[in-house]
Amino acid sequence: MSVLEQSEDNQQALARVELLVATTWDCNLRCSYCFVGNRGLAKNVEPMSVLAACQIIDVLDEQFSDVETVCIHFYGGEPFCNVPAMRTMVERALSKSKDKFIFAVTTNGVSATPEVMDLLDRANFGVVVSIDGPPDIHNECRKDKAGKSTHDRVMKFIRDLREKTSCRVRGSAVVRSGWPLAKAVSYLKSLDVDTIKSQAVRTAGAMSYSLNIEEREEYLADLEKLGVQIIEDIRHEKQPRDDRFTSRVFQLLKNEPRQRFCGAGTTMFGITPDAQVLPCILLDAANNSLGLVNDREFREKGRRWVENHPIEKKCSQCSALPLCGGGCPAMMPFCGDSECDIVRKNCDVARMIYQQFKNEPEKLLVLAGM
Amino acid sequence: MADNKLQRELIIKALTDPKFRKLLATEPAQALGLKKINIQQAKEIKFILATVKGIDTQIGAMADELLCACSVTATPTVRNKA
Repeated sequence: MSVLEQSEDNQQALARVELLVATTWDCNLRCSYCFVGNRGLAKNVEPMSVLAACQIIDVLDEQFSDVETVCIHFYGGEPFCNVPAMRTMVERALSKSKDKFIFAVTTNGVSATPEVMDLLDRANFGVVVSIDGPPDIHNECRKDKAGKSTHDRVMKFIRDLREKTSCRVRGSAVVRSGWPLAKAVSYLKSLDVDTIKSQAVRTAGAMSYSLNIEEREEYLADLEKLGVQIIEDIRHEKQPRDDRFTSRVFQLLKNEPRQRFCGAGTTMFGITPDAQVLPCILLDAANNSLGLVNDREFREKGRRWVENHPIEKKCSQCSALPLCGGGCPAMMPFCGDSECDIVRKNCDVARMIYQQFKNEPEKLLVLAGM
Repeated sequence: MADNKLQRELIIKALTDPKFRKLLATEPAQALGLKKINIQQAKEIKFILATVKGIDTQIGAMADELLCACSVTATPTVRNKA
């Protein structure tokens, strides 16, 4: 049973599910470290049609009739490469029960048109925009199809979001060889965004941009320093902009072990451009498909998928298990032990933060914006 | 209530004590040791329960540092146009 399902007031209605929707696998950029492209998740599949987009929302509305909030999180590929499908999904969803559907998008921000900006504002999107660092760092990896730099266009997108919309904005940076976490966090904090996230590049095996052994050690040390900064923020009643430890700190406060790493297959699903449902959009369809949306069987198949993917035996002895829940099902097979090192460190830092406020837990409410 | 400190204490109690949370939702006066509650107190209790639910969502959302960034919409921070 998921954490959400266990909570007292969710016994009758599930509070929230999230659908990571790829309306297209196409992307206007050619980032050297792209997880989706390098892992072969993006197949030669036609972009989602307007008709399919409309039908998907109808089925989601019907299949999640017991759920209070359904978050449609546009992913990809680059979501702005298929605006008609995105617009159709949003407009159809807004025609359903008031406030049932909410929206998020993960985008490179390079090709936002006035129409897109209007849509983002109208539907009160949460926007995750990828920006690695200053121009030299960002442009080294994040080029468009023509090989042109993109930093200026992303910065314009962020400025436009602030000036023309009420969207909540999260800046997201990839940490790679030569670009450490501390610098990425510092850069993101200099931007006009609400929250930030920065993560080590995920690769299977060594690539030119992978963190080397020394850089991985530095990354883990930077995570701890970030935890110390967050403790200071909490002491000064300031909500930290980097919220990577928040869920685990609250989990410690609630003293509730995590049954699964995330809600993949129960409270989270992925939808591909050809309307296949996956437990998560980052899992490959060949081995993890829950059928087509229109089959209307994905929730039951999702439950079975969870049952068939129990926590690995090697995790049972791990001290991080109660806070980790067994690791990300998409990353673990791909990144292996290196992923565990990062998650374990995140769990340790969350414990460190919690310990500082164990006797004055009210102070932790600043993490929830209070 | 109307006391911010008390409100925060009640949020923590409701978050960490499922029985209290349930009582606050079903028999708020009893939960707070009062004979009855007024409209203002009822509003504050609604806020407390909503906050606790929001924190539950944050716990379930698993912010972490992954590509999926599930928690992007978990915190309902509203901002105005610049």
